[in-house]
Amino acid sequence: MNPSRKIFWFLMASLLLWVSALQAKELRIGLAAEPSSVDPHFHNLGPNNQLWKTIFDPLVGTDDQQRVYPRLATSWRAVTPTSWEFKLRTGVKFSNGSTFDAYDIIYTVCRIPVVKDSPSRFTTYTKAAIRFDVPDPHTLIVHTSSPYPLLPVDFSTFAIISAKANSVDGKSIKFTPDGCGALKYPESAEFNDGRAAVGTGPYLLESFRRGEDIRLKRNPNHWGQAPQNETVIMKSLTADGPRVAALFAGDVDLIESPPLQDLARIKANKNMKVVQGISNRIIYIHMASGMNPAPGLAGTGGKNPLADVRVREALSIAINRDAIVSRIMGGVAIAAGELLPAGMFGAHPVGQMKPPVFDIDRAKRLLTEAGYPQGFGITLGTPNDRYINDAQVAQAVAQMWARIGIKVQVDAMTSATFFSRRNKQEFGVYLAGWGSGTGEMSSPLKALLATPDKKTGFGATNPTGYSNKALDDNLTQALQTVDDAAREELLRKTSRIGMSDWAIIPLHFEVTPWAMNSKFSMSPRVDQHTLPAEVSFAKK
Amino acid sequence: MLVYILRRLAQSLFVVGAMMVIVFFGVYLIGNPIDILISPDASLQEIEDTKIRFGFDRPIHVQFLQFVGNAAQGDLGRSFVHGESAVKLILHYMPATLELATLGLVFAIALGLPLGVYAGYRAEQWQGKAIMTGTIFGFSLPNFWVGMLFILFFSVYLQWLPSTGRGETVEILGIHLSVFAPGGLKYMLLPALTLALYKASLVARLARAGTQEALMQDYVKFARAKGVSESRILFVHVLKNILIPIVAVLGLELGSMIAFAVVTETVFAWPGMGKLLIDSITKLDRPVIVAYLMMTVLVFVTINLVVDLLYTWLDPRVRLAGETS
Amino acid sequence: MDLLLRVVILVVGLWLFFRVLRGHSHLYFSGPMAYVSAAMLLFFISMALFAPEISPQNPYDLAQLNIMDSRLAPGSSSIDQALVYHLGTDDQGRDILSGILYGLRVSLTVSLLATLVAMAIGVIVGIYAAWKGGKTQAFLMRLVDLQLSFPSILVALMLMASFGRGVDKVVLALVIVQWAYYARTVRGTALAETSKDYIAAARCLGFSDIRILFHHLLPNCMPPLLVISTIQVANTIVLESSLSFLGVGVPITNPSLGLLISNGYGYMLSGEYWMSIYPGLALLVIVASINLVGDRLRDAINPRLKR
Repeated sequence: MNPSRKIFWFLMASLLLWVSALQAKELRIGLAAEPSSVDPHFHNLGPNNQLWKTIFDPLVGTDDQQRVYPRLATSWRAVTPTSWEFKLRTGVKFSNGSTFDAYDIIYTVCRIPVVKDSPSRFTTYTKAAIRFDVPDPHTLIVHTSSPYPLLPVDFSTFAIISAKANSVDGKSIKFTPDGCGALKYPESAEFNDGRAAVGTGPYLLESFRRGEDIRLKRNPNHWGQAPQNETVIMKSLTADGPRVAALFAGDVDLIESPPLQDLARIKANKNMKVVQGISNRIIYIHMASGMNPAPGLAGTGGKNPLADVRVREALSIAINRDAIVSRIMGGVAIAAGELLPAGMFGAHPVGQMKPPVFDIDRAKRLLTEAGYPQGFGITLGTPNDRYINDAQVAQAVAQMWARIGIKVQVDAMTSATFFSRRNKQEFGVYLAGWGSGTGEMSSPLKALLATPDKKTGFGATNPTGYSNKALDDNLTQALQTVDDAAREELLRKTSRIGMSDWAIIPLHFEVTPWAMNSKFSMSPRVDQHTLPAEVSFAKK
Repeated sequence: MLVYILRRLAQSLFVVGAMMVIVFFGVYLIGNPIDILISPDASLQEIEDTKIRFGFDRPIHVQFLQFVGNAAQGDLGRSFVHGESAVKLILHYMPATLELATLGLVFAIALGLPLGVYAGYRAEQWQGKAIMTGTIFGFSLPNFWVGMLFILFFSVYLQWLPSTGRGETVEILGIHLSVFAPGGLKYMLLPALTLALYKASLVARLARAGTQEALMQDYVKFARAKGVSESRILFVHVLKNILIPIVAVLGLELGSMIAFAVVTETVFAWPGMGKLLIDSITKLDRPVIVAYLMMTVLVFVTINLVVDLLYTWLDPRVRLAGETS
Repeated sequence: MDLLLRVVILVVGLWLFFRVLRGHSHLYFSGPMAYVSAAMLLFFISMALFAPEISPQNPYDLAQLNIMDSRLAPGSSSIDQALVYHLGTDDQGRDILSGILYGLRVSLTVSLLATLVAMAIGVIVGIYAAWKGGKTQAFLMRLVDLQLSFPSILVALMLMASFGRGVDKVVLALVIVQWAYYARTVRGTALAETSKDYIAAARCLGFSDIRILFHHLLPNCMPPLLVISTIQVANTIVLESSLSFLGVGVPITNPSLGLLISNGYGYMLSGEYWMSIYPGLALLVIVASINLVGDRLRDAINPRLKR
C-alpha cells in the first residue's frame, strides 16, 4: 500500500474510533459513598437507594423537589380515610420478561420484613399497610388501621421486585401484617451477582465489583423514556481529594460532593461546571432542655440553664449564621429558620420563616435576665466525618458562644462513637443533621421535637428530654389529616410552635454540589441522589 | 527445626484467641453499630427490634460465647454493613492489597538497600551525607501528603499515570491480579511508590549504619588485603552481616503494609483491605473487624516466624529457642 | 506551665545532652553542620517551650479567634487591624504562626514522651526475651505479635471509649501501639549478640545477669535502635496527627502540628496552600534537626566506630 493510502486508512480508522466513542455515550461517575449491596431492600441508606433507583422503580416516584409523581402507579386516591387505591401502569415488563402487576407489590411488601441481616429495614414504610385488595391486576387497594395520609409518600421509598422472577405465583400469596408464610425470596448475594437484579428501571446491572465500580447498561425494554447515556460506570472514589483529581485528570465525567474549597477552581476551569441545589438536610444544634441534671455543663450551680427559653434563644441568636455560610461553607449552604427549606411541603413559603437575627447584645441581655450574667461552661458534641464540615461548623459556633460568655469545649469524634453517645444522652448540646426521607415537614418534627413514644414512633431522635404537648398534639392531628392543604397548614403551625419555643437551633440547609464535565448537565435533587438517567448532554 | 516451627504455630493459636477476646469486647466498648447504620426514619421500636435481631440485647459475654461457638464451626459471621460473610469480604479485597504491598516492598528494597550501603561506604563524603539528608524527607512527610503530591504531579499535571483506582486484572489460579495485566501495572506505580518511600528511607538508614560499622571490621581489612574487589566486599560480605536488623524491620513493615495500608489505599482509591478495615471500624462492623484482625495476627505471626528462620540462615551463630546447639 | 519551670526544663535538657556526650564532644562538634543542627534544635525547643510569650495570639482561646478572619493569605491583617497574620490563617481564623508555635509544644511533648516510654518498655522486653530464651521468650514474643497486629486507630478508639479524651490518653495509645516494634527489633539484634564471644566471656567472669544485660549487651544493641528511634519520633508525630484527624487524638480546638497539617490538607488543591505547607515545613525542619542531631550523637558515642 502506498504511503498516502496508509494515511487515509489510518485517518478513517481514527475517525471511526472517535465517532464510535461519541456514540458509546458512556457516563463515568465518581461516587462519594459506596452502596453496600445491590439488594434494594437490604439497607435503607442513601447510596443504596440511589443505586436501586437506576435498576428498579418504586410505585410512586419523587422528582428533584422530592414531590411525588406517577411511576409504576399512574394515579392514587384515598377512597376511604383508611384505604388508598392505586391504579397501576400497564404494559410494564421486568428485565427478565415477566409482566408487572399488583401482585408484585404484595410480594415486595412480604419480602421487606424478612430480608436477612438487614441493619435497617424498610418496614418503617410498609408497616402501615394491614391488608391488600386486588380487584384487577392493575389496581391495588391498600388498607391502613387509621387515617394515614403519608401512604403514597411511604410507597415512594422502596423498590418493586418481581414475584414471577422468583418463581412465586402472586395470586397465591396470603398477606398478613405478621408475615406471608413461607415463600421463596431472593438472597441479597443474588442481587450483587446480578441473578436477582431484575427490575423495571432505566438500566440493567452489568457488574458490581465491590470497592471498585458498578457497571450499568441501558434497559432496552424500559417503559419510560430511554436515558441518554448507554452505559454507566460508577466508580468508588470515597476520598475527597482523589475524587476531584480524577475529574481534573479526565478519569471521570461527573463527581458527587466535591469539597467546598475546590468549587472555585472547578468553576474557573472552562471544561467543567458545578451544579448545586438545596437539599432536604438541616444541620441543627439540639439542647438537653428537658434533662435534669444536664450533662456537660459547668458553673451553673447544678441547675440546667437550657430549660430556660431565654437561654435557648440567646444561644440561637448569638450564632452568626451568615458568617458560617460564607466562611465555613463557602457560600454553599442556606441559613435556616425552621427544619425544612422554604417551599417544601409543610414549610413556610419563601421569606416567611426567616433565620433568627444575629444579635449579640440581646443574647447577653437574655442570659443576664435568666440569671447567668457570667455565662457558664458547656461541652458541644459533634461528629467529624458525617456532615459537610461538621466539626468546623461546631468550632465556629463555639467561637460565637464564647463571645457571650459561654465557655465551650468542642468534643469532636467519629460518627461511630458520636451516635452511640448521643443516644445514651451523654451530650448537653450537640450538632447533628437530619434529612427528611419523605420530603415533608412531619419527618424532622416527628423525629427531633416530638416527645419520645415507642408506640407511635415519635421522638426517635430526641434524646434531649424536650417535650411540648401543644406540638405533639398538633403533629398527631396533622398525621391523621388526609386533605393535603389542611395537613400542610397544621404542619406549618406545629413548626411555628416549635420555633417560637426555641426548641432547637436550626443552623443551615446543606446545598448539594455536583461537579462535572461541561458537556453534561443534570437538575440538582433535593434528596441528594445522583441518578444517571437524569444526567443528559448539555444543550449548546 | 520442625519441632520449633510446630511449637510456634501452636503458640500462635493462643495469640489468635487473645486477639478475638480483646477486639470483641473492645468494639463493644466503643459503641453500638445499629446506632450508626439504622435509617434515621426508624422508630424507637424498630431500632430495638433491629438490636434484638442482631443479638445486641443479650449481655456481651453471651454474645461472645455464641461467636466462639460459631467460629469453631468455621463461621466468623456476616458483615453488619454488607450482609456478606466477613471472611469472603476480606478474601475479596486481599489480592489487591497483597500485590500492592509486594510491589511496594520490592521498590523499597531496590531503592533503599543500594543507596544505604553506598551511603555507609562514603559516609564521610558528600555523597553519604546527601543520601542521609534525602532519607529524612522520606519519613517525615505524612503519607497522604506525599500521595496527593504524586497525584497532582504525575496524573493531573503530566497526565502520565492514572490518578486512582485499579486497572484491569487477569485471573491466575482463581485470583484476580492486576500486576501481570497489560494496563494494570500503571495503576499500581504511584501507590506502590508512596508506600515504598517511607520504607526505603528506613532501609537506607539502617543499611548505612550497618555498613559504616561493618567496614571497620577486621574481616573487611583482610578481604581487602587479599585483593577482593570493593563491590564484592560491599555486596557479598558486608551485606549479609548487616541484614539482620533490616530483615526484622522489613518484616514488620511488610506486615503493616498488608494490614494497615489504609492511608495509601484511601488516597489512591485502591480497593484493598486497609480501606475495608477503616470503613469497618468507623461503622463498628464487628464481624469484619474481628475476622480481619484474626487474619492480621496470622499474617504477623507467619512473617515473624519466617524472619526468625531467616536469622539462622543469615547468622549461623543465632540459636532459636528449642534447638540444640 | 510556670515560666520558671520551663526554664529549668531547658537547662536540664542541655545538661543531659552534654552528659551523654561526655568526653566525645570533639567527635560531635566536628563540622559546621553539627553546630547548625544543634542550634536549630535548640531554637525550636525554646520556641515550643516559650510559645505563650512569643506567640502573637493564643490559638487555643476561642474568644481570641474571629471566623471572619478565616483563610486569609499570609501577610493579611485581621478585620480589626490589630494583628498581622504573617503566615496566614486557617479555616477557623487561627493565626498559622501561633498555631505552629503552640502545635509544636503538643506534638513534641506527645511524640518524645511516647517514643521514650515505648522504647524503654520495648528494649527491656526485647533484651530480656533474647537473654532468657525458652518459654519466656516465646511468651513475650507472642505478646509482641499480638500487639503488632492491632491497628493504632482501634487501640485509640477503645482507650478513648473507656477513659475519655485527653493528651495523656493519646500518649498511652501511642505507647501501646509502638513498644512491640522496638521489642521485636531489639530482640533480633540481641539474639545475634548473645552468641558472640564477649558475652560468653562476661558470663565466664561471673558477672551478674543484670550487669551483663545493661552494661554489655544493651550498648551493643543500641545502634540500629537509635536509628529507628529518631525516625520513630517523626513517625509518632504523624501517627498522632492521623489519630487526631479521626477524632481520637488531641481536642480539635487545641491542634497539634499534625492536626494543623491534616486540617489544611483539604485546602491544598484549591490554592490555599499556607494552611498545610507552613506547618508541614515546620514539621520537616524539626524532624530533620532531631535526626541530624541524633545521627551525630549516635556516631559520636558509638563504641564500635574507631576514630
